[in-house]
Amino acid sequence: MSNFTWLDGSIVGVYLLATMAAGIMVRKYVGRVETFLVAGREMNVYLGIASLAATEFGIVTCMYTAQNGYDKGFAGATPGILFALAYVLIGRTGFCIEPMRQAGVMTLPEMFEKRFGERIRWMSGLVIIISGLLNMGIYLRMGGEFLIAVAGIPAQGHSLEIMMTLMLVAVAVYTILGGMLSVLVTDFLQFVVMSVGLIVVTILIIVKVGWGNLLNTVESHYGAAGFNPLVNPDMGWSFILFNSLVVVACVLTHQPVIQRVLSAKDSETGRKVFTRTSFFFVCRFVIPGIWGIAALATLPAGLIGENTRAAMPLYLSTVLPVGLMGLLVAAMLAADMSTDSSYLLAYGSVIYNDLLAPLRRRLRPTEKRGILWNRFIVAILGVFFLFYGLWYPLKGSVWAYLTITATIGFASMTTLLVSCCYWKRANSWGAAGAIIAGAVVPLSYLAMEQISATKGLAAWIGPNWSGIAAFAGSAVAMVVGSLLKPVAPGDREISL
Amino acid sequence: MNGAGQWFWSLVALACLLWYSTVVFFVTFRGAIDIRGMLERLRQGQLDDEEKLKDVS
Repeated sequence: MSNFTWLDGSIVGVYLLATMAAGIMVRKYVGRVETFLVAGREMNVYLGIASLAATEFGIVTCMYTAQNGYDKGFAGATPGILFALAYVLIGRTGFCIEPMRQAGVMTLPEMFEKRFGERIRWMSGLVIIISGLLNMGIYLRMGGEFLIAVAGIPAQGHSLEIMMTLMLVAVAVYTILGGMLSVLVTDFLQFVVMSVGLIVVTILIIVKVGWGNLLNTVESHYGAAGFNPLVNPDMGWSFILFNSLVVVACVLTHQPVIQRVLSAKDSETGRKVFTRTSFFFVCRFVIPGIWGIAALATLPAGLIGENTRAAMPLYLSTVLPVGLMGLLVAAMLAADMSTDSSYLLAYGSVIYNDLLAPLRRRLRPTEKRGILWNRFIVAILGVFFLFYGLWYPLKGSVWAYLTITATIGFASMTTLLVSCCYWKRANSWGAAGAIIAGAVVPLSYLAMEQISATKGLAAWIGPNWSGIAAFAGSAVAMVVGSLLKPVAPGDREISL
Repeated sequence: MNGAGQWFWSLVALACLLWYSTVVFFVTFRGAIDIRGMLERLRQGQLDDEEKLKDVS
């Protein structure tokens, strides 16, 4: 039985009202497409830290990191350390993000056009959208499932559909009206609410369960594999290698992440945002991981079964007292709304800026009409996410699903970005080859998992080697394709 | 027993709670200043655009 009462409902209501009001109030500053998509490039360091942290922590994040803790112990938080290292390294060196910000673009494909031409811009936009839609498709559902479980709402009738629709409407209203400006302002408020909730709930859990008990639980269930990813049978070197590639690619090419760099005042600000937010990504895996381990320590064996992502919400619904339950729901709503709004805008910006680029060249919309197009695109995307989340039957590890679907875009986009910035010989043939190779491998793997005749082979290959193959294949295709294309006098061998 | 592993993750968890609490405090105050500055600059930009339009007409 959940402890969600009228007091908790009031806390959530106040949070929702404050966020919606702030998000809607700043819409009057949006007069140009650049303000709608990248906040007029006026974002400073501390707002950037709040926005990046809030964007990259949603309920889906909490669900899969807690599931990692429940299924793998502390070793499940290893990707968090890899993320932090990637952010520090890229923030310190400015690798790729410095030339990207200096290019003055609004999306990654726009940058590729400068080197590889219009077709590659369109193709890379399409890959980012396919990968992004598959990836984000489960976010609303994860959020709905979590809130229903924690608030103790009976999971019968249309409660999930109603919860998902309410969340979508709340997010879409201010995102459609204020674009990136509303997203940044609400991200800031959501970061504060989310962080207070995460810290307070974690301290309460540690006090209640006991740190020694958490360590002993991992020890008794998983032994050394619960602490060391290298001896964990589900992880090992292939997991470390694939996740290292994924996190570097995510930092460099994930549109919701790089939109923070592109919205920054200058490249130096973008680099500082990355460096100073880096340790948050350890917290992002460790804190919900502790919640998952607490569920493992407390819930009776056999209650959870195979759907281990349900363990943490079920545990929280029974352990948190009145008042704190409201803070948790407000914190998780904040986390999810900031993520959903940023992702809606990020993928909407790629559709407007890149996929519709040929149409925009012909129709030449005014700034006002451009903003209207963007608002319409965000609304359509919201409806798509609602129906995809209800339709897709997600089974197994959420983290594995997210990394595989993300790889469709990450492998090729990382190859294109690095080549675009640092390899003068790279050209459109190599870029096209990299896009095709990077998408075909993970899509084939996803298909093999669904077909009964190839299911065994897919299990033998595993998601890690499939992902590594996508990155390797994309890089090889870029090199071979670029070297095969004859260098014509008009070719753009430019260094950005 | 996995003494080293337990110590490592205990220190990481402690660092997370300390770092996160500190950052929330700083970002709350400095972020609010950033938002005010951003909105002021955008408002000034809008006023400049209106001035330019007046000059042209």
